[in-house]
Amino acid sequence: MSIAVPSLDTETVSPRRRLSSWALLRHDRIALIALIFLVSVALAAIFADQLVQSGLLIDPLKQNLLGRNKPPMFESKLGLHLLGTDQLGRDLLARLIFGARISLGVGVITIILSSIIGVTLGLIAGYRGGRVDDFIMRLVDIQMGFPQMLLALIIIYAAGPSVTNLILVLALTRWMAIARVTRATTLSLSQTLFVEAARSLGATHLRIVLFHILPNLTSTLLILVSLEFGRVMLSEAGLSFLGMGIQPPDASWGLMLAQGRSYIASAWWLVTFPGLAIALTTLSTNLLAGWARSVNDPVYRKRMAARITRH
Amino acid sequence: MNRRQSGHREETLAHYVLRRLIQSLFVLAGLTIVVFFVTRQIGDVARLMLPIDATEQQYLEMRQMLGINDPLIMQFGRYLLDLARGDFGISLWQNVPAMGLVLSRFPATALLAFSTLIFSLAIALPVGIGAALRPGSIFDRIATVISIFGLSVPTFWLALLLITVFSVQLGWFKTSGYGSAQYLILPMLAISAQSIGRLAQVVKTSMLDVLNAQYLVTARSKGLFESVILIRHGLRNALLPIVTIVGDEIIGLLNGSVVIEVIFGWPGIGKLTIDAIERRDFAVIQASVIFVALLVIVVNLIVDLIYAWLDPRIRYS
Repeated sequence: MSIAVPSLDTETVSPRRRLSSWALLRHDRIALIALIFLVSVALAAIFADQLVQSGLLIDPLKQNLLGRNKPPMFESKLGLHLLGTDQLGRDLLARLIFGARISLGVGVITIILSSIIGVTLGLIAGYRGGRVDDFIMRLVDIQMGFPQMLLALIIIYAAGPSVTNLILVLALTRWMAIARVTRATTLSLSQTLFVEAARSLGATHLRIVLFHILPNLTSTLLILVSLEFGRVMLSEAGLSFLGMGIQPPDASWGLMLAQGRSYIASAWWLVTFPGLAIALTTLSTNLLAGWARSVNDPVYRKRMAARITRH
Repeated sequence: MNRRQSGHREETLAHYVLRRLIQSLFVLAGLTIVVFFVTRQIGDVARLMLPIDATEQQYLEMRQMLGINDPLIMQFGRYLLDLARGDFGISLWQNVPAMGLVLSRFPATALLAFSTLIFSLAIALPVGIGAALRPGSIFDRIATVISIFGLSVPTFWLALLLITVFSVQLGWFKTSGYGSAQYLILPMLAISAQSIGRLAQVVKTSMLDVLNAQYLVTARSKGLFESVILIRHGLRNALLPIVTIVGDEIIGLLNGSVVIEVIFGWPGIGKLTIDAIERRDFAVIQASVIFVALLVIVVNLIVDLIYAWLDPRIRYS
């Protein structure tokens, strides 16, 4: 690779400082598209009620038995069905947007919960070491040995399928990877000079962990969490698909897929669009995770910096 | 990620394996307790088995006969005594030993898991190695796209799309059932997407790590053939993380293909468990969870042994 030095005066300033993550994002077209997609899905989900009130979106609960299973671009008395209608004549696009509330909501809350569990246990294990560390890591190993999917199914079935139970079970089965990574990073960070310095200045353990170690974990965790978000979305969709997750009349993308399954031969859109929604959302978070990883890679950053400043 | 990091004290392999086995006993014990008490909360099997107009008398007799009238703790004690004799109980619905039922479904699950694994490896290994050898090339980009798409597509959605295209439209494969390759190919393809995505990524990164290692520079400076360098010095060392992820894949395939088994009517353990949950067939649920947990333990043990065989440092540490 030829080293493109843009001009002499930038040589003294490191490119890392000159280029914010945002500048790098603007030049990575795929990551930018992924971000725009996620933000627009989230916005549509948040303002779904307003969209219905303003007449831009058809009411997702309005049934029209004369217009059942109609293909995309079908026009009924309710309005234009951009993505067609479902088995009860409800607008598919509206149901997808309202389904996004639950699918994304479950994903976000689950990830927050499992991160809290994983990061807390990982920090304690990595910082304290010794018996505490042994105990927590054994716990991780033991839970990794459980047949996760079967156990999740049984517990949800016993506790009764509901959004709360779904979130709890998913959060309790997905914290281990986060705990492992947090512990490993904390372990190496707690032997660094700056932690040593903070300690000799008399900082409390809590202060060291919260202000010196945790901030250095954020980039690693951000990558892991966006990958995990994709996995949680897929698990939720899978459980809802089996009838063990979201229950009607609520709509989640996985449930919509399950409902559309019976009409697979006659109404392809019922299966195609909810699946596409799940796939594109997961794809976007995975792409952003990949982008976050490369941004944290100094070699990549330098190369991008050189490319951007050359323009 | 590294499975060796969990044991951070220096220890011999035998010691390590022994510790893992003892730990596995705890896993099994914990699972047995959790699954026993959770399954009892699922619902009342007696009501489900009787016709809707059964009298209260019949209902109580039924409960007595099924042995679910006693306090839970007594039922649990009886269950443990039976377990100690290798008896996993009787399927309430089919009146055959529960473990026998699980074992009879194992070949189907194993067939699906291993054909998926072999198919995924056949694609992920060349793609991952190729991408690592030529970073930044078109090949590398294709590999990235394949793995990121594979990881993002919901398995059951892919399954439904495959059914629509290849069974409904083209009529090439069967939509559901078990038997010849005509039944196997679609479920295998559907599950492979995720596996290929994960495997290709790990193969690529572990190959990249190895290719930048000092000992390859040494091997090159000795004037060895490039192919010898790659296979004897490169691949062997890259295999360590790959073995770990393959083990994880097998475990995932053995207990994660529930949805696919349901969609394709594949008579494996996942389908059996789902059916058992719906019928509150306690013994079968317990037997299948314990069986899958045992499989997980065995696979992990094999992975550990392969690990030690590949990396002498572990054996003699």
